[in-house]
Amino acid sequence: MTAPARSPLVRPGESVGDAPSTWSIARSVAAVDLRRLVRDRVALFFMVVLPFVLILALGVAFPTDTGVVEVGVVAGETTGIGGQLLEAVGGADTLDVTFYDEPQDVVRDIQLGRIEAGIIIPPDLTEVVESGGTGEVRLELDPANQASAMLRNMLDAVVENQALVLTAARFAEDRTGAEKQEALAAAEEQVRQLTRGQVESVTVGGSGRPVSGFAFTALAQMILFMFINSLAGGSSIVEMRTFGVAGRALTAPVTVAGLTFGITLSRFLIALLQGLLIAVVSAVAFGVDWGDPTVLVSVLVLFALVSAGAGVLMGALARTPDQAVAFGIPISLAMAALGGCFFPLSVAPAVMQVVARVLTPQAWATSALTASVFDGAGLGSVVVNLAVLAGFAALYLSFGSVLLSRRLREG
Amino acid sequence: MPTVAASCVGLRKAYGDRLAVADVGFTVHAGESYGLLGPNGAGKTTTISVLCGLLQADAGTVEVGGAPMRTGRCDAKQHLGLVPQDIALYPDLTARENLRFFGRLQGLGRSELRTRVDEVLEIVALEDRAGDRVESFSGGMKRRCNIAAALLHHPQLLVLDEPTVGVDPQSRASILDGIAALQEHGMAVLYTTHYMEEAQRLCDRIGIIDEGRLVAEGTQTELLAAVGQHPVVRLTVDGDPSGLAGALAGDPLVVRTSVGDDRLEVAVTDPARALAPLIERAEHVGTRISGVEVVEPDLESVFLHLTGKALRD
Repeated sequence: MTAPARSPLVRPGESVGDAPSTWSIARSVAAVDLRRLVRDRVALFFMVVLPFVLILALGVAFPTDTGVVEVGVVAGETTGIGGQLLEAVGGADTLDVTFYDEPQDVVRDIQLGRIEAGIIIPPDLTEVVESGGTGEVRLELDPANQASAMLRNMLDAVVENQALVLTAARFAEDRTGAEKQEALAAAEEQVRQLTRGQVESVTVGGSGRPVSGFAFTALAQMILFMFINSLAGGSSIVEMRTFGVAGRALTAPVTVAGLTFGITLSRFLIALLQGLLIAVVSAVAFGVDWGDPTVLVSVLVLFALVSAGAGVLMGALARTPDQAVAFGIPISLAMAALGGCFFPLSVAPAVMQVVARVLTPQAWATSALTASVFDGAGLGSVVVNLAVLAGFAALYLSFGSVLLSRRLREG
Repeated sequence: MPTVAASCVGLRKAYGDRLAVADVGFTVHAGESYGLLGPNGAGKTTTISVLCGLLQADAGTVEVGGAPMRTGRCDAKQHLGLVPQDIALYPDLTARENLRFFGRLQGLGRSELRTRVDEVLEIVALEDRAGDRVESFSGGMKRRCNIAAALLHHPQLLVLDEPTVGVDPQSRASILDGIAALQEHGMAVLYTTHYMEEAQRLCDRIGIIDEGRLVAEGTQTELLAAVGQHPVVRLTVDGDPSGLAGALAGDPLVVRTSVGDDRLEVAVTDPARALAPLIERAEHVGTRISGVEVVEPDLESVFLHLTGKALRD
């Protein structure tokens, strides 16, 4: 150290600067945290590379759900019940119909993955049914395909409708002595009037628009990595304490509350940045449609607050930076697994779903995003999820900031 | 500028049942260098922590730059710069980035901050390494950067908590030179150390602290005089030194004598005047002197006298 003997640089007691505002302190802390993050290659890998590797790897395992099912049809009959069936199938927006001559060609193409289902209408279907026999329409399905249930329901509806007409016609024929064709026409009219106004097409379990196969994994990774990086990022808070930087900062005109606020704001911004990065990149690169943007933004902001609170809590509890990472990652993974980040929560047993919702904010975040992305839910539909997330955020932030303040005072 | 840079009155701080600091009080005048000398665990760092507003004292008051010090935000903090015992910097940030961060916490505006960062880098001679990460610095450079961070806001009082611990001799000399230069510019310095020679070299006044209590205070001369410490002439002799010791009894320049196997230690009021008569008296009683050493009293002996133990115990 070589301070010049007559240096004009040393002017003890000369007033320099005013006490910084809490906001200014917060910005300074956040800026330093972000700068350090950018320099940390491991943290950057976890934040910028790994989420997208996982989204890509897991996303390609799920085909894109375009909302349209490829169906092969063998139309042995084009009038009567068969005609009605063809009319129903052809009129469905969600079915793309290809006609085949032979049933075995339909089965072959299902096995080859060219089509997802097949409907085989026998040539004498109406005749058999009208004569009191049992007509058989074969439905060929790929058992793993989600379209199975929809097609089965559609066929059941058409068949039930026709059975209703025939039953009514026979009843009229018996009671009134009317001619068979006359009774049939009257029954068809009655059933048509009966069903008109009663049947409404409602899409359940789908938004009606194509959903990328990357959608679920993208939203799951978003929630997973926002939380995991925040908890592991608690190590930077521990470093601030153990490096003595926090202690030195408190010899400046800085309050413990101001420093705690700055640290929390920094963790919030980093978590939000992580979420936005995954949202934007998965939309641009993987074609993920996030649904209602207000739902996405609300979940992102609230879950970033949750993550920041958890990160601050970890930063206060851990004694060393390594401890924050060593505990943070397994805790995050366990909560993510429980909270539906590895598989949809809906497939878990009911008890586990309850446990997940009680213990993890992840469950509320993933279900809100799933509702928006897959079912087209708006803000009003996920208001409970958002309220619970706000509650988790308040809980974590309160505990975290109180504990961190205490740690900072202890030095 | 107030004539008193900092003052502590009746400081008391306990950690549970353990009393760390008891009734400590001292004043550091503007431009003065005050040393707090004591062994490890004496209460120096606790005293510093209270003085810098990092710890709340159980009792007592602290003022820095004429303003009362407390934990939290207060005007007093703008008048002091703390150089902690350990390096309190982000190792993965550059020297400049670290200084900018701490400067912002001091409330320095953008242009002022840029100017001050350049200035303190020049003061600690790190201009050429400003863009390098602190983790790449040598121990001495880290210490200098640590000091630089405390100078950003032109503090009236620079508080250094054992700044040379673990530093190589060359860097230590450089740091001490730098601190001395800052003193020359009128900066008040509060310097804690358990290295006696640093306190002797740097400090105008010294407070000796042990087991949380300030046991003595004053200039080095005052402290030596207060505890009756005198220069010692250490004579190595052939044969029994008792005869010479007896011959010296009653000499007005001799304070006391201490006899060893082949050695005689003679405490004197003024070694320059006492040396020639001593040798003359030895010849007179037939004692042959084979070696002479004059030992000036130091703070180590003061500390030993006051506490009954060595500084490094």
